[in-house]
Amino acid sequence: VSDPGRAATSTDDDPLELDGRSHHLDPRVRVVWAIGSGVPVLVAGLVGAIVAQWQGWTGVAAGVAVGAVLYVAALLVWVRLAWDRWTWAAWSDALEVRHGVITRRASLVPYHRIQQIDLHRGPLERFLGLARLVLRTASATTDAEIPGIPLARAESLRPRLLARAGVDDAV
Amino acid sequence: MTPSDADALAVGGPGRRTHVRTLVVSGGLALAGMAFVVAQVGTQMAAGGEGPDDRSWSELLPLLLVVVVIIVRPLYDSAMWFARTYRLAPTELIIDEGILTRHHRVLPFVRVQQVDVHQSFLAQILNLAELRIESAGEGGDTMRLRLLDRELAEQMRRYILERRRQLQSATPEDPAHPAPDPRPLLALGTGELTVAALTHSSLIVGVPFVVLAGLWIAAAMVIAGFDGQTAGLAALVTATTSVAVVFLVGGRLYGSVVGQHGFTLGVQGDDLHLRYGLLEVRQLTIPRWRVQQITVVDNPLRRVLGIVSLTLHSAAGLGGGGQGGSTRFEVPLLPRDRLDDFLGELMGDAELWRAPSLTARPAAAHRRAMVRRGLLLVVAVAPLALAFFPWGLAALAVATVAAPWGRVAHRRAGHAATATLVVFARGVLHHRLELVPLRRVQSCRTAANPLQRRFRLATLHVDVAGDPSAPRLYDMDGPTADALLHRLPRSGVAAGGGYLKNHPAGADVL
Repeated sequence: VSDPGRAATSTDDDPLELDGRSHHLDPRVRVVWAIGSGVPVLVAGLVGAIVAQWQGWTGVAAGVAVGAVLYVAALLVWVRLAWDRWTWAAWSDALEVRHGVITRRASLVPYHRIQQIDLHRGPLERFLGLARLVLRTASATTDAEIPGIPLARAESLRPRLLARAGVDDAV
Repeated sequence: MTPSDADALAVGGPGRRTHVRTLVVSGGLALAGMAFVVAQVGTQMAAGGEGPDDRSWSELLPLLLVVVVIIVRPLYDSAMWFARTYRLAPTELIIDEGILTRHHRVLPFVRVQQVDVHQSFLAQILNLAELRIESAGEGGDTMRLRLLDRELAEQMRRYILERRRQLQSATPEDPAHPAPDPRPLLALGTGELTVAALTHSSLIVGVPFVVLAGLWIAAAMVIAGFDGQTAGLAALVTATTSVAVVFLVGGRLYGSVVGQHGFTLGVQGDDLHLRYGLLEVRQLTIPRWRVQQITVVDNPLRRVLGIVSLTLHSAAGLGGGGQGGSTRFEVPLLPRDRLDDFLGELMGDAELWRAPSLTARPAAAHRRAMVRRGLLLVVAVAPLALAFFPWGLAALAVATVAAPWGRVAHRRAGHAATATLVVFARGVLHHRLELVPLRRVQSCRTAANPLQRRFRLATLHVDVAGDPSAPRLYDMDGPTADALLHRLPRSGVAAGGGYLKNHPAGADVL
């Protein structure tokens, strides 16, 4: 049985080998997570505070502002912890993903079960040169997504996984 | 498949339309709509003593639009029906359809996965049936022929399945052989279906839950200060609870005795044949190699009676083809002592599906099982305790049930992983034994919350195709779960592969 805990951790840009080494996500993904989760709440809080102030509800406005600031502070801590916990490893025969702050999750997807590999890039991810790699199998519950992977690495990884994919979909 | 079948099907002949009585179904709905509109207008005229001419057009416009739709829709349906033809060839089914844009669809029999005959209540009155054919195409393409003469639909089903078998077996490695006769495995009468309904886990769990909910509501009303109307409230809650219980029991009886009326299950070659239903008759064909997992379900009452039910999880189903529109197919009742033999006959491989002895969860899981159930019981009776404080605190004594309940839950939970099969068991009131061949495992997941991590426990999920509720076991030993996470998905190939290696036609079906 392979033990990813014994594998070395790597965040460098070495050519990717399917050797089971544990990789962290690109640190820039923290910006994607923070902005994606923080900006909508900040904007809503700002609008709420302005409306409350305009109505003369000073206490409510202050409460909303303080709440928004606390949320952002908690979010920044959360993003840091989430990044720390998010690792993935490409073995010679399977992809392993580990993540989760409170509930720790791990997932292993053999390449021969892969039916489709998607590469998603939102506006912020495009700006930062990142991509999200999603592996799909015949099961809807498979959890195999790597967010925040540098585009070049994702593009080099995808054909190598596809070459091993679809050998047997077991349905 | 008999020569008369082939003659009736006009194989290789010109295109044919579905039965003309199909139009009665859509026309009947239109007539019902028209009758409703006429009744509305008539009611308005009678009430006001005035004709439509005296009313403003804006009031009648919606009704006029409904009338137009009611008239246009059957015309459109008739044109579509006229433009849609199907024809059977020796190797494929061809459907041409469309009025403005014509579609030519070809379904090679070798790609057919499932052929079902479905009869709604209205179709039964008209002696019609719908033929649903699922292929292995992109996204599990489904062709529907609605509606055909019932006998013709069954002949087509037999013909397509027989041709598929012949085409798939016409390989050098597997020469054609005569089709085996269908072999009946199980037939359930009304009495057995009634037993299945009355011992169903939904009643074992649902009836006590409804009664407890009734008590809870009564307690909440007492807390809210309705004590002046105690007698009326008691009557209201009792009546509501009784109705809910009758609804639960009646619904389950209806679903079982009517919905699964005349349940028969048989095997022909590598196909399972299911037939059931009184108002809606369903005839399903499930290839064995599409079955991803089998769940054996029981509960304390069924254990006493020595019976279980089975659920077969298929990789895909036809929209509405599986029971409840899903990909699950239930065998409602089976004597427990027949289980191993039945699974062997059903799946054609007794050794693969024989459940090995299970490994128990660690002692920490036992404690968690008791604590979780204790907390659940405390929360459930808390309103009663508060409503009738201080005497109501005695109700909290029910939490002591958590000890034996948790002990039984722990004793009946466990896992086993052989070289070919992974098995999970869990639950008391709705106990599941989930059997998954390793060659069906798509991927695996583990999850561990802080409390589980503290006791080195984890939940293991096994992902299979088709069913979104993955087999799982809570509170396994953490290192064991992690080892299985790495072992089970990788064992699929060693355990004989899946789709390609099991399908008689191999890669050609893709």
